[in-house]
Amino acid sequence: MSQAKNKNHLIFALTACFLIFALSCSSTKKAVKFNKKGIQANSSIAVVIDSKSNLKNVVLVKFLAKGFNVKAFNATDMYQMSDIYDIKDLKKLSYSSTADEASSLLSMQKSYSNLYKLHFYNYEISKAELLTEIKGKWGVDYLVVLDLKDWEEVSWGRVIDLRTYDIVWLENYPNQYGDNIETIMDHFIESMIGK
Amino acid sequence: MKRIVILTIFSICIVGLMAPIAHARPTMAFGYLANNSNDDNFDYLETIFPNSFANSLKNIFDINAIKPHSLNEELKKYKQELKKYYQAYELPELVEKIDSDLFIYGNFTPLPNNRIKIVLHLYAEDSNRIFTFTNVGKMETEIFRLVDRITMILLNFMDQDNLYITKIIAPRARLAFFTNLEGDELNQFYFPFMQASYGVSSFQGNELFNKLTVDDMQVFSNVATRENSYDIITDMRKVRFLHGTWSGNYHDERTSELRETFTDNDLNYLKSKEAILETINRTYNGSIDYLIIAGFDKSRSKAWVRCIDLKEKDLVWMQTDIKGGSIKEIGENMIKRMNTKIEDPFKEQIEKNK
Repeated sequence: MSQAKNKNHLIFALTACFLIFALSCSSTKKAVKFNKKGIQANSSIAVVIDSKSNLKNVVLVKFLAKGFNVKAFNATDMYQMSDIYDIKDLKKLSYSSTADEASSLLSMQKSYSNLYKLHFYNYEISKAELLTEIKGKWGVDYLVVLDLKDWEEVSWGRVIDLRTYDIVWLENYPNQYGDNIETIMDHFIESMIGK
Repeated sequence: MKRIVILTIFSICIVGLMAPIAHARPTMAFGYLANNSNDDNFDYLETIFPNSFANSLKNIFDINAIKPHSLNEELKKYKQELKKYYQAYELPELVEKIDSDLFIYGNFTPLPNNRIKIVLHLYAEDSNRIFTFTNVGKMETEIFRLVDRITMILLNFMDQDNLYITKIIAPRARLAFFTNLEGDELNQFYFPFMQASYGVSSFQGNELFNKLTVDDMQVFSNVATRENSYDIITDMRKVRFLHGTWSGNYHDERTSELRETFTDNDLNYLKSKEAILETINRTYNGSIDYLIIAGFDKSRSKAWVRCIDLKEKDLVWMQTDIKGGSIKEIGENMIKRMNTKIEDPFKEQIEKNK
């Protein structure tokens, strides 16, 4: 009798530990969703996504099927941080090539740091200019940024209104068991049009 | 009671801030507050102000306050005297000589309509950073009110989270964020701000990835703006761009490039910074009110923040150690801070003196 009681306690303790662990994991994968205004299904959109081509086709078809006017797709090619020349390389080069002026160069730390900061601000400006161009030239209303993940991970998306540059929709969606790219896309599209 | 609690916390924090220096009582040295006007009638305030700040802080903390007169006497041992103005690069040497943990000095300018502009510089030993802030306000008839106003700013900055905030940033303000977060983490951070009715610009959020690391972000923790700044000190005396007939074309060209880099990004950085802030403002059609730079640690359990008013091009909020159980909670704590007026620890004292 007492042995059975101990066993029950052990099972209860293990279950409690598992639940605490599961809750702590899920807290980092908590869903968030905000929709400032529903995006009309006939809007002109540009989509930024980083996936294999066959998966991109699924995403494209899903938007087209809902009536979206997809003006540009996979705009990731237009700007990527990894493609931008990293000014940190310049910093290393300068230090090693003028070792005879070590004291001067150490005092130039602030110059390099500031240059680095300006480089990043300029990068943000370049992206905004590009978005203005996308809006003006192709009449794109919204930029849709999507990242579709595997099961147990969090898929996320953002929609930017190119008239105001404001984020008007965002969602973190922890993928459910049985989800696939189609169900996730259906969920995201319904969510962004405000249904 | 509340005041006692606040003061006790401040005392603990200031000791914490000075802990690496391992002094039992932190030493704070006060230089002159130079009279920037041409009116000699205000000269008496050059020592009155720092003496009052010293007394005010000493009344609250167990600190060793060195006032300008004593500081001048101390410097005489080194055949020097206390100057009214210092170049930032002179401070590390000075602070080492006077064996102080913190050196505070500045200047003031009387303004029309009975207003006064006070600029204070704070340098903590071995920090290699200088914090400068400007306060424009009423030239109070009772000087203690003005002293308390400034002392409150000093107290907040010396607190554990180095708080400096000049205004409330209320919901409906339009914010642009610059962080080391990406993807779903960035969404978690944006979420509470959008929920609280702040406008969130797509700035940096318009792409899939973010290459900035925790270390990269440290560079952005130094902020130089027109009136308020928290910036690295450069020792200009050590910067040499030697060239001559002996050096040859290649060396001369390189030296000239380096000199240009130094001029644009150190000596004239404020100009470059203001120009780029104006370009951001223009590019985004004036849709951003505040640029919030937030650096998250690796575990995403705390963050520091620097906030620049993009219209005024000024640092309006600075804080370290904003903690939270999640990125979303850190965002919520930021909203609480930026949307709440700072409690005045001197309020009770002022009420009593009425």
